[in-house]
Amino acid sequence: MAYIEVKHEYKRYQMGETEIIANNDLSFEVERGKLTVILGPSGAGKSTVLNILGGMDSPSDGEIIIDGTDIGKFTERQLTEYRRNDVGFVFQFYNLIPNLTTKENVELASAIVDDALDPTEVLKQVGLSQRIDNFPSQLSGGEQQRVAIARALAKNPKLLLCDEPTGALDYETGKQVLTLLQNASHKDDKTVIIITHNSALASMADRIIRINDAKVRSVEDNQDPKPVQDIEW
Amino acid sequence: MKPLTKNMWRDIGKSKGRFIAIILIIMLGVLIFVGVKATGPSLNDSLNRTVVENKLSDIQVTSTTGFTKSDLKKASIKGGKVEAVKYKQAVGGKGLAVSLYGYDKNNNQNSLIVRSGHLPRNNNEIILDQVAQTKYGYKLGQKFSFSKNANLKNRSYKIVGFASSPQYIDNESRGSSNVGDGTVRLFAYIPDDQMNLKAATQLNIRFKNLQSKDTFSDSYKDAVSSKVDILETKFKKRADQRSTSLYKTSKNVLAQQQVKLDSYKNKLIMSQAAGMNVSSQLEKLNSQQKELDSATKELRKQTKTSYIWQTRADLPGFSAYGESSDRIAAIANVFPVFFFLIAALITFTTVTRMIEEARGQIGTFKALGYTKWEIAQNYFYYALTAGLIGTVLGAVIGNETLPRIVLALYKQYIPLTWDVKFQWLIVLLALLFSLISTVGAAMIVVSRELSEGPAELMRPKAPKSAKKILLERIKPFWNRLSFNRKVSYRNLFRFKSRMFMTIIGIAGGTALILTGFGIQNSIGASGSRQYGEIFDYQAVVKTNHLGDTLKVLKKDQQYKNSAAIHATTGKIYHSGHQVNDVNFYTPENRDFSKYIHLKDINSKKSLNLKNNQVILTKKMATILDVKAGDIIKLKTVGKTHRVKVSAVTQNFVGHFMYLNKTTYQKLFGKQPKSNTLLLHLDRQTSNQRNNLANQLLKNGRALGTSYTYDQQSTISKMTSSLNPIILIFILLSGILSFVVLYNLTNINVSERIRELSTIKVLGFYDKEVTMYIVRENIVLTILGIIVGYGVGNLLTAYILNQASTALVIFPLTIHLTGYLVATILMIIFTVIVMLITHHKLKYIDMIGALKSSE
Ligand SMILES: Nc1ncnc2c1ncn2[C@@H]1O[C@H](COP(=O)(O)OP(=O)(O)O)[C@@H](O)[C@H]1O
Ligand SMILES: [Mg+2]
Repeated sequence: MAYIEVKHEYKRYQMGETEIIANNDLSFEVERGKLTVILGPSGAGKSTVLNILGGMDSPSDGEIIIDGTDIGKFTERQLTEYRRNDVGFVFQFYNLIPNLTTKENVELASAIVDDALDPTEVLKQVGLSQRIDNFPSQLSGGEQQRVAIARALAKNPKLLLCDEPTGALDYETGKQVLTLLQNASHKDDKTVIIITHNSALASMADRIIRINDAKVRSVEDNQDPKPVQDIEW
Repeated sequence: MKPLTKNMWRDIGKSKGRFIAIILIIMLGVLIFVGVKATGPSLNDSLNRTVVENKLSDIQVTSTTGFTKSDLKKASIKGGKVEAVKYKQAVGGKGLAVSLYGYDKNNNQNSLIVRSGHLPRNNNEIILDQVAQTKYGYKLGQKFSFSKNANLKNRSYKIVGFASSPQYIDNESRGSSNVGDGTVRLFAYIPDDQMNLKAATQLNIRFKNLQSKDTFSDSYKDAVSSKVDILETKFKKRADQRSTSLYKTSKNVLAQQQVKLDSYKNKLIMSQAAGMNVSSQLEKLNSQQKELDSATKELRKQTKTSYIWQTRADLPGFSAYGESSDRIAAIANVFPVFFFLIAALITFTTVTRMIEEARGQIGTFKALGYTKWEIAQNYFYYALTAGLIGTVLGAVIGNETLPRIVLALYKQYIPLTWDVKFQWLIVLLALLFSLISTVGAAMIVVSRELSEGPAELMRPKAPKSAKKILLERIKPFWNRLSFNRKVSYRNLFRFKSRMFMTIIGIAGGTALILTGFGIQNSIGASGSRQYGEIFDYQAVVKTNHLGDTLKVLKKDQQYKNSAAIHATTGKIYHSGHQVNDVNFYTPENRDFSKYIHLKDINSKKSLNLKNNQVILTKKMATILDVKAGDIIKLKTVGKTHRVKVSAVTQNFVGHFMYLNKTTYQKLFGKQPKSNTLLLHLDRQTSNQRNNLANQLLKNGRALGTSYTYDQQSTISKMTSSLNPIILIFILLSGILSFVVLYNLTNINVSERIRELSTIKVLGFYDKEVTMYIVRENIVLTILGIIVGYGVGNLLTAYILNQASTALVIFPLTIHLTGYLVATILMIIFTVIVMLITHHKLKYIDMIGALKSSE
């Protein structure tokens, strides 16, 4: 059985008179320990479904079965617990706490879970052991995003969700960040989902889900994902 | 409407909470400022209106022998109306001293306010003081009897009504009497001819052109005292004239008797010469002669005329009323200003935050080519609207409600005709303040923001680069903190201005509440400490004859012992200042120190009286600028003397100079003759107190007895007359703190919505998210409360200093209750704000907050 099964998921927003359908009958599966890329143009409904997968939002309809449990029916409290223990998030804008140092930002996450990884160790993994005592404002964008990834990883989550993680980064730093994420999946066996509108990134993934106009257009498996360093765009 | 203006109104619509918060804070500030400022004048105006409506006399003069028609004419000077009233003091009911007036339909002055029943219509009817009903339980239709000495047409009268009188505004005081126990308990009116007096004993004089003046104002007092001067001069020789003429008329009867007695005596002498035994007749004659002599003496005494002049200020309760409204006015000068300051600061922060949030917008408008002023205008109007609405609401509510609430709670006084005027000047001042704090704040922030270029503005404001805080350098402390605490402290110091605002808000509220209690406690303490620490006796008896007084005392069950002193009054001068009404106390012997404890104000050591030196009390020493070692001048009747001050003693109420007999002898050239006894008594019931005073007056040749118990209860009544205003302060201070805390927490949440969303996404439970932000509030609340304790003490000291009268020192005292109430209220507010914040954070849109780039 797949780790994640999305079955006939709908997300509708009521905007006064009109109804916006952000996700229209989405169904797909994501395998445990694999890297999945969700591809699609802006406004396709990618973030919507990712937020639902991450327990930040609930679907209007359908089932979201994660490891055998339907989180679509979860209460607020259950969703919080799910986020706390099972999910790591990485955003386009790093959302670090400006008033905390690099290490403290990671500690913020590790402090709330039982089987957390050592913050210093994780920061070393993402290559920031020299910047432990710096504040976010003293770091470059790429470094900040690496702190954000460290923060997500430090909770030792089963699922790593990344919404356009390179959206605000330049080419080289973007590559560094994506390498980290690919390693998380291929070396550390985390289930990683990355959202992007850059189709060149498809070749780094084990599975590519294309979404357009609120619907899944194709699901495609890649038997031989390329290392990020070998991809050019 | 221009698009820019439209945009502003939409902004207001979106952040209604903040707009309302500014209005609310300004409203509160104005409300208390205007309300309290208006309370003093309203109290005075209402009393003035009440006494004018009931035609209270300006001057009253009583004569020991009554007034003739020509006296009446003499008393009617320009602009004044004179009315004659029959008045005497008598003992009636359950041994109560009553001020009894003859009721004359034709008299207009001092008209009674009938509270139930009606005025006397028949000869056997009496209308009683309202307090006869409330305090002594008399009812309509009952009989009210007088003692035989009252010498009225009838002994008992039927109660047909209860009334209040403008002459007796304070339900708690009716003045002193020369009958009964020395304190008047009631006033009463019976028909004029029932008084059994040949002539009127009191003249009431009222001046039409004085009625528009404020009774408590100096201009009124000056005008009245010049009228009294005129009248006194006119009556100067009149007293002796009347004494002589009365004596002459009544003497005739005695003279005739003397003639009879003389002729009888002659006869007896002749019979004796004739050898008859007339010794028994002679004896009888001698005793008759003695009787006649004493009758002559008595006549002299009875025909001795003296006048007592009184103005409104001398009426019982009047001065106290004026003082208590003065005290409120003194409070009004500090309290609300402080309040306003907090309101202004909070408004400033709120407007700043609002404009900072609109940075991007301002940049966009600038980029589109709008001028600085066009953009600034909108914020100007926004602030102006909030300021105006807040001021108008606050001014109207404050001016119209606060004085009325206080008036309604002034239960100690007769029902007043409320006169609450709109205080335009104060409202204008408040308007000025609120516009400075709203429009001023907006202008400062806008001009700062607008000086940046559009491109800069459209980018998010560069976050202030975070720094390590000082606390982190204290390694042993910092390392012991939990992670969450470290985060809280860091955040506290990141948002310094908000930190200070919160502390000021909480400290302000705590301080104001504490001050409310402090004012009350301190006023009470002036009495409890004077009669606890310093005056260690239970009563003072002034007497003509120590021996007789002691004889009565020794029969009293509660009497323990007493100390005799010579007491007199005089004036003291030093360095160009003067204090009148100083009590000079010269003790008979060393026992005195068990009755009055003299303690040096600095060293707190017990003081002894030294030869040729005196000890002064503190307040007087302050007024006169005297310290130990200085030479003062003092004056009793006529002569001035100089003496050295050996020490200044602790004292709270009144002015006293203590000296020993040697000093007295040296100063005044004669031995002091003790005329006053300080008594140690066992616990007495009020009946026992009345009885003893009665006995002393009747059989002990005492002139008057005053109990410390009564004095203390007078002070505690004075304290409770401030209760309503204090209560309002406490309430409003609480609300202010609450609004401040709420508003600042709101700003805090909105400033850090991204941060809060992030930790929510990370999986912090709702409770943890709330605590993440509320932990800071807790630290700030604790700090604020502690700072508030200090500020509260300072503020109380300042107000007490302002409110202290020439006679009284209010020792700064705040009981534990004050601290407890202030602390508990602040904790409750913090908890309420926490709950509201918790609810809010539960439903924040974390996805929305994290989506944008800002
Ligand atoms: N909270 C919301 N309310 C209304 N419409 C929304 C909301 N969130 C997203 N949408 C709409 O749903 C659609 C999909 O949005 P999103 O999932 O963010 O797209 P993507 O991430 O693929 O760019 C968009 O048309 C967007 O306007
Ligand atoms: Mg998106």
